[in-house]
Amino acid sequence: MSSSIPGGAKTLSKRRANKENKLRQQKLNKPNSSRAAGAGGSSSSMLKIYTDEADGFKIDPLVVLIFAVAFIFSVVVLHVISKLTGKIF
Amino acid sequence: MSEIRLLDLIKPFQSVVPEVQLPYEKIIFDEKIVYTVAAAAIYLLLGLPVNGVDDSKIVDPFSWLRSGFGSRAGTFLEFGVFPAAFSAFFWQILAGKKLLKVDFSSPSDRRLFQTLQKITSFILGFVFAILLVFSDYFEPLDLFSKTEEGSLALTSPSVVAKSLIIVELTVSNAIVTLLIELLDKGYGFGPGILAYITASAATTLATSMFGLTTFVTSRGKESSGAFIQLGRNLFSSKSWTYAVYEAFTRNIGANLTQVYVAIAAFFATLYLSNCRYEISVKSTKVRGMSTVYPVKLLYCGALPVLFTFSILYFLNIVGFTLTKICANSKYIKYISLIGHWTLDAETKKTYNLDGGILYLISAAPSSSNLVLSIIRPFTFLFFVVMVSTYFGKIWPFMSGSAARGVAKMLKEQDITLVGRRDVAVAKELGKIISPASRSGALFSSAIVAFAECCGRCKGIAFSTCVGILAGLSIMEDIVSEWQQTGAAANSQFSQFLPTQ
Repeated sequence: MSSSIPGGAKTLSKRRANKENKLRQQKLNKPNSSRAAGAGGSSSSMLKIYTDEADGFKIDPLVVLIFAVAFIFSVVVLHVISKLTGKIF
Repeated sequence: MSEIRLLDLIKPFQSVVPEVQLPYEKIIFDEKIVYTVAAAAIYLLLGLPVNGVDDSKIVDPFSWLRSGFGSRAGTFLEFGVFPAAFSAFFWQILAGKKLLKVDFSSPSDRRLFQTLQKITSFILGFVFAILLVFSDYFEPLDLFSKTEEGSLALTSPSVVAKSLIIVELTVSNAIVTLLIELLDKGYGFGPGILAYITASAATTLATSMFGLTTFVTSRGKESSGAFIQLGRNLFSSKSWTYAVYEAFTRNIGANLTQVYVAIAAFFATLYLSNCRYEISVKSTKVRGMSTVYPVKLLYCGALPVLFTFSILYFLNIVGFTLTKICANSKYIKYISLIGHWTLDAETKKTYNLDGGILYLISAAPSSSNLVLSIIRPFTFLFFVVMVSTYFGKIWPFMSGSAARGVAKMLKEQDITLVGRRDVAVAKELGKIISPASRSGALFSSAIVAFAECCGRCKGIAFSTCVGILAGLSIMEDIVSEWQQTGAAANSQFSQFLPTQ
C-alpha cells in the first residue's frame, strides 16, 4: 500500500523543485540594504552610513564636538609655537 | 555559518572603534538646528593649514575634484568627506550587488556592516595621507630654491615632520567621520556627508564670487573673488576693456566666466530638481482622503554625480601619487600610462593632466597632443554621463527605494494608488521610478560635465550643482520634520516659519 505524503505536490521531483523555487525566491527577496530591511540607512537621495548603534567604544555627541574643537585648538597652538621658534622639529 | 565572511573579520575591531551614542530620546527641532550648525561650523573650522605645510604654496592637482567633497588643499580637510563617501558607496554597492554577504535583516550584521564602512573610512584617510606625503605633495613649490619635482634633490624633509603630517591628517579624517556620524545618528539634520558638502559648496561659491582675501601672484596682488577682482581691476587698470577682459579670463582664482557658468548650471539643476511626476494616492482606511505622491525627476539627487566624481578623485589620487613615488623606477613608462601631470606654467599652482588614461576622463584644459585634446571633452562627457546613469539605474535597488521598497512603505502607511489593485502598485511605481532615476542621473551629470569641460570651471560648477542638490535633500529632511512631527508647536522658529 503506497501512502502519498499529505499536502503539496504528489511526486518527489516536483516537491524538490518547489522547495528549490521557494529557496531561490527567499534568496531573491532578501534585503540588500539596511533600509530595505526596515532599518534606517541610505535612501534614494541621501547617503547615510551610521544609523545603527554598533557595540563600540560609545561616546557622547558633545564629546565629539569638544574633541574636534580641542584638536583645532591644539593645532593653532602648534602653529603659534612653530611661528615663534621658526620651525617645527 | 561554515564559511568565514569579511564581516566576521571586523568583529574584533568593533569594541575599539569610537561610536556616537544614539540619542536616548528624540532630539527636538531647535536642538537639531543647533547641532547641525555647530557641526557644520566645526567642519569648516577644520580648514586650517596642517602643521609644517604652507597651504598657499601647495601645487594642487586635484583642485577640480575636491570642491564637491568639501575638501581644501593643505588643510585638515585635505580629503574632506571623500573617504567616508567613497567607503559608503563602495560597500553599499558591493552589498547591494550581493558580492559582500550581509544579512541585513539581522541587527548584528547591520552593525558590523556599519563598523566596516567606518574602519574603511579611517584606513582610506591614513593611506591617502601616506601616499600624498611620500609623493612630496606637501612640499611647497618654490621655483627659486627647489626643483619642479619637489624638494628631493635639495632638502630632505625630516621623517618626524612627515609622520606628523600623516598623524594629523589621519586624526582629522577620523574627526570628520565622527562629525558625519553625529548628524547621521539623528542629532542634526540630513545625512552628514551631504550637510558638510552643502556647507562647503556654499562657501566655495561665495568665495569665488565675493572672496575678499588676497594672494600674491606674478602680476601683483589679486583677490579670490571674481567680482572683487573686477572692481580691483577697474580701479587699478588704465584700460577698462582690459580690466573686464582680465576679470573674465584670469587663470589664478575664480574668473567671471567660471562663476557665470556655475550660476547657469545652478539654475539648470534647480529647474530640474523641481520637475516631478505626481502619482495620485488614497488612503485605504479613510474614505475620500486622496493626495499625491511626488516622484522627482532627480530621484537620486546629488548622488550620481558625487559617485562619479568620487571614482575620479580616487583614481587621480592613486595615479598622481604613484607617478610621483615611482618617478625614478624603471616601470615609470607603464605607470605614466595612467596619467601624466605637468606643472601649470603660468600659475604654478596646479598640475595639469596632459596624458595617459586619466587625461581622457578629466576636465583638464589642454594637452600637447592635439588629437587627445580634441577627443578629451567627448570622452569626459561620455564617462561622467555613463557612470552616473548606471549609478542612477542601480542605486534605487541598493537603497531600498526602488518600486518594491516604495510600494512596501506605502502599504505600511495604508496608502494605495488610485485605480490600482494592491498587487499592481509596485509595477505601476516601477514604470515611473526607474526611468526617473535613470534620466535624472543622466541630466544632472550632463549639466555638470558640460559645465566643467566646456566652461573650464575648475570644479566650481561641480561643487555648486552637488551643493544645491545636497542642500535640497537636507531641506526635505527639515521640512518633513517640521510639518509631520508637530515640531512647530514648541519651537522658537515658529515665529517666522510657516507652521502649516
